[in-house]
Amino acid sequence: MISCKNIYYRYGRKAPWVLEDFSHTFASGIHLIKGYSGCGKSTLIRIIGGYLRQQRGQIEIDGYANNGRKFRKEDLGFVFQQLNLLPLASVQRNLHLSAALAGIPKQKREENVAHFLKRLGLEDFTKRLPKSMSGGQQQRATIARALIKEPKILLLDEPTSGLDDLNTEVILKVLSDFVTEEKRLAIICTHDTRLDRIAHDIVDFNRFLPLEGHLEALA
Amino acid sequence: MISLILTASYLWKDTWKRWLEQPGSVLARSVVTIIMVSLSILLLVGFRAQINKLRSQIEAFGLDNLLIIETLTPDDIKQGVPVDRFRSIGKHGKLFTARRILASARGNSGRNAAVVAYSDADIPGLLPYLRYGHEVFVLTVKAPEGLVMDYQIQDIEVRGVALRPEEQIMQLIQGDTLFVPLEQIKKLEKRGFSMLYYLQRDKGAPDVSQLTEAIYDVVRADGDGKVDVKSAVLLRDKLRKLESQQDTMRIALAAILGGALALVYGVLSILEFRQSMYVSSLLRSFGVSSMMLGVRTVVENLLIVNVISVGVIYSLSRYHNNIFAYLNVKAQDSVTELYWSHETYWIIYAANVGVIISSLPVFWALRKPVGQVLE
Repeated sequence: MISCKNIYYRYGRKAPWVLEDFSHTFASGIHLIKGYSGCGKSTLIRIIGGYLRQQRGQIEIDGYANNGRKFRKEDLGFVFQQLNLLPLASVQRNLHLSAALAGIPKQKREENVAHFLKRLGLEDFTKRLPKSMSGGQQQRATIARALIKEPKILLLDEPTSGLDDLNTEVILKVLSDFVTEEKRLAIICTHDTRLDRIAHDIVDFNRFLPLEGHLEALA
Repeated sequence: MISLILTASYLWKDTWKRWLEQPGSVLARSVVTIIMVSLSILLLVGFRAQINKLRSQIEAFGLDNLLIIETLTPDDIKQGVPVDRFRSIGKHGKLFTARRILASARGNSGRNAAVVAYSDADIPGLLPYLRYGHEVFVLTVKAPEGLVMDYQIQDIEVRGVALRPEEQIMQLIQGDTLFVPLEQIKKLEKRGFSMLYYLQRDKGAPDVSQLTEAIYDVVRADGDGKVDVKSAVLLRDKLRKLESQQDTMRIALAAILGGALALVYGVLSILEFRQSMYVSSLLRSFGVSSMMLGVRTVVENLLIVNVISVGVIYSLSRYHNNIFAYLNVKAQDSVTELYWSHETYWIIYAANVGVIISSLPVFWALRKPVGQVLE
């Protein structure tokens, strides 16, 4: 369970608050965060993942304020919007490194690598470098990298943006199975309505965002 | 452990790729290191060679020995300047005296020799050579001992026997030296000569610096004469001054070298780090520690600076004689000892410190949250 308590965040001292007194609790299951661009979706999951530090407020994971490096190494799978794979390492090496850093033993690591590559349809791409793969294949490899260490928490930032239905379908199936099998927790920032059917909860971020700017633009 | 190996292996691959794609950065660092280390090492080696030379001079001369050379011109002789006014220092030890005549002797073998005349008063110092019964003799290391050689000095012909010089007298002569009784070449004395006094001080005698001071007192009191006093004490003072200068120079060079490398490496490191910031952040998002990523920069720079420094020092030592011949400096010391002295280690140490300092901005930049870099 993740509890966000009175979170404040802004990019610069004089910038407006992106997150202002945000509080929410995420239980196990898949949570979608939806909202307009700039409403703070990505910022929130980065704060939860410990990749940004909130100016005020507290993040608690299973009751503890601990989202440091150990948490990121062992318990967190994170997918950023863009480049998530090390460009000079093969898909297999990317996965192995991520799992090794999480401290997963060799045998288990090899099993997981084989398992997730198969689940995501990447068995034939194990030795390939990311640059020699399509966007969809790279995104599937990215998901595999996030899942390889079997994290308790998954945070995904627009994991299906720009993907065709087939790629999206593969990813959704794997994510859904992964989260529901072990009662894990996943938070996904997305505009993609194709994800709605696997969600257990949808958080509408627009309610936290002043919309004057958007309305003026539409007028 | 496996994560460390995998991460290190990836970082090495990333570094190698960057070197190949942007050789300018490595070249710039290498060139700066080559120039700075070469200059520092050459200066320090030059100093060290000079110090070693002085040390060997002191060792050869002996700390209890004193050499006085008084040059007498024809005018001095006409005016009746006393020719052996320092002979009285003989009471403080074993004294060798002789007159180096301003003429050279042409030998029948084609070799020339310097000419030294000795009077009856000079005989005690020459007894080791006169005991063979030849009043004209040539001290030489080239001709076989006992060889009879004919020489012509101006219009005077003399015949001498070759003898080996003892170690002490080597301080006074250079090359073949013909010793002739003064009466035989008396007329040459009028052309001017150098009076040599070589004293081997007795243990209870005043020390060399006191004797030197006394000699200069005599010269000042007489108000004339061109007197040059040489002793290991003076050399030792010179050596101490040189060593002090060397220490100052070593510290200054180390500071300049370290500072310059810190500046150049620092600027290049931070530029390179900015280019690879995305990958560094990605690795951090995997769980790789910022410390390890910072250490990568340190190791990379240390590798360059140490390989280049050792290479430069090895190359300089390899071509030491050519370089010093080109610089018109005589270098006879052991090359290994000259180049791998503690002064050299100081320079390498300074370069390493400079490089470590240069990496500090990278560690600072690694504090930037991953979430502000990755999108």
